[in-house]
Amino acid sequence: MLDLASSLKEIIVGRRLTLLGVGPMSITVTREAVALANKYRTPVALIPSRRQVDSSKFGGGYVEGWSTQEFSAYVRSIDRGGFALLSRDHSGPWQGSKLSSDLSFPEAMVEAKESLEDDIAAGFNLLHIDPSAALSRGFSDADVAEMAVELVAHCVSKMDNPRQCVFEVGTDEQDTSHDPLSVTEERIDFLFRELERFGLPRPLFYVAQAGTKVLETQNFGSFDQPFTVEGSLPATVFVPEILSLLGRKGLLLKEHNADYLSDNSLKWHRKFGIHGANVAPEFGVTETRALLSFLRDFALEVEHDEFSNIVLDAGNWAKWLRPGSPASDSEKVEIAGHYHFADPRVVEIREILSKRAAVSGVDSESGISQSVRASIDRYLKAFGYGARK
Amino acid sequence: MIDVIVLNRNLGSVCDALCTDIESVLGLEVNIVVVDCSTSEELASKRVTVQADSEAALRDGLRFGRGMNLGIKYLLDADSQSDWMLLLPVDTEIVHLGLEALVRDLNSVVELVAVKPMPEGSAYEDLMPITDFALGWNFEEGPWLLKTGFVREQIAMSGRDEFFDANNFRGYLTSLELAFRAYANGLCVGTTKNLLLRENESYLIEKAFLMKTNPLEENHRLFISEGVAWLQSKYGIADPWDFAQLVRLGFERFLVEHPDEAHKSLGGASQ
Repeated sequence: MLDLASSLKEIIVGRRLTLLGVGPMSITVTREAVALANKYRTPVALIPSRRQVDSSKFGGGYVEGWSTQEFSAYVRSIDRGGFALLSRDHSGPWQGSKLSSDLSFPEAMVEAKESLEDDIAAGFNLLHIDPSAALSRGFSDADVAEMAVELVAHCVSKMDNPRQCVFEVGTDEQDTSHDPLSVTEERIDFLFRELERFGLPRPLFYVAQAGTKVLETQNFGSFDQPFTVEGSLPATVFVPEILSLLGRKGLLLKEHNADYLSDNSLKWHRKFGIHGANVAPEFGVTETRALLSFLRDFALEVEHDEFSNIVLDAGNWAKWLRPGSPASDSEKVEIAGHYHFADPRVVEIREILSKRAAVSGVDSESGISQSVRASIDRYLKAFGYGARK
Repeated sequence: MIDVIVLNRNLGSVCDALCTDIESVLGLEVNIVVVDCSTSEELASKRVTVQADSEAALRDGLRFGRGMNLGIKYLLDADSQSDWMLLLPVDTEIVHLGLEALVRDLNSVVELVAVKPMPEGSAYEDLMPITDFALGWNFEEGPWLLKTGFVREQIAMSGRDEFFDANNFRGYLTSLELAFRAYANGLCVGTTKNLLLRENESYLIEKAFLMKTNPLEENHRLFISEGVAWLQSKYGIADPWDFAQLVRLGFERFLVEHPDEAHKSLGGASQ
């Protein structure tokens, strides 16, 4: 029987599939992603950040208030064919809740390790080790690589066998440009040397900037631009080069921030042979837009405005705005609505909507789910899910 | 001896300053041809060689391809003996020229027929951290160094009096098509850091009307829409990235057929 890494390689490389990583922005997004994975009988990775889902020791995450164990249990309960991969996104020091940003380095590492321990105990399959938050606190590239090795070592020590989970490393600083290939190669070589020194497994995936950058509800990266972005290589040049480099190192390319890319750009993921791509906020935005649309359709103005005010007051939209953005309040609500789906008052608003819609013979929750499903399916179809072997 | 074609669009003083700059860095070994389509005498270069005064040129301005075609025709009709010609839009600024090294680059590969002077801040520098010269296939639009013999042969083969496709008005994928024509004939193109140029985009932004071109945003929109239509009409290829991959295949085939040159490719072993 093949181990997880070999199985994934066989599916991704053998079938020339781009593995989709879906941010579980809500229970709806999670459910629809698992349903589609089972429909296509092909793995889809669910990629919670620690802010979305985390160990109960740290209060869980904003998605359904789920702890790691609860999230895992929910996914396993609906994943009849076993096609959902549990994949921790961005685990490392200072990657947790806002409170974790106040921690000292030793405290942040302890917290990261405890979070990873829960991931392993909950049966996660992929672990993205990302200590890059340390870079903004004065640590060097080499420090970050050593932190990654320390975290991998800790994970392996908690596993039943060292091939129980596969690792993903690398950073994806949202940028319109990418690191020089020589810098990427030096980082990989340094990491490999350190892993080898401690007898640790190499990662399967490497996260590299492929020219994607999400702001508001658009992708501003070079990948999706009709013109070459100054200082960036065209995707037709850079993507084959980074794939070639990673291929020589035995690594698979994982692209982050693939949200809102055009259909044509998505089609080229498979044509280039990009091995994996993560999409998150777009699915939350889709769900929010569908919810707002139903609230308007059924004349629930009070509930519409109340939901909007909850979102606007919380301010989670701010980090997604372009500098000097002229985004309207309604656009801000669309950007950040998904942070509040577990808010008891928002749950009540959705119940009110369901009842009002049902009077007209409409299942609003089913309609919202269909919108989310179509949004996820756009990626899956482009990435080779359902294609003939 | 090198020929230089400068294309002026109502920026006479800018053009003349560029010519002076070229002469100062290249010395006497340069023959400058100024193609001018200015709409008035005071906006024209004082060094006009070829005056484009057709109704269409005066109305719409000359774009890169059509303008350079006039300069190329002038040089070939004059039976130029130069090995290379440098094509420069008027908004070009010379940042660095290492003449001796540039000449070495131009002679470094027998099959080399076109060299892209590196634009300042080009991301291609990342792919060649060690060397100044590399072979490639997908370079930025704008200035080019062309081998005169290649230009002559291409024009003869086409049966038309033009090197650049005049139907591609705004020059969409001009650089890619140039690489396509090279690699499809077993030849190659490269880029060099020994001629580093800067495009002063402020002219296009601030003086679009004066240069008889569309405002930048409108120009970008038309560049894509008209360019894709041109690509589909000429090659029957719907997606520009598919065209790019064809060129890449030609480049890779060249490296296979010329293993001694493979180390000079962008991202190659010596880079």
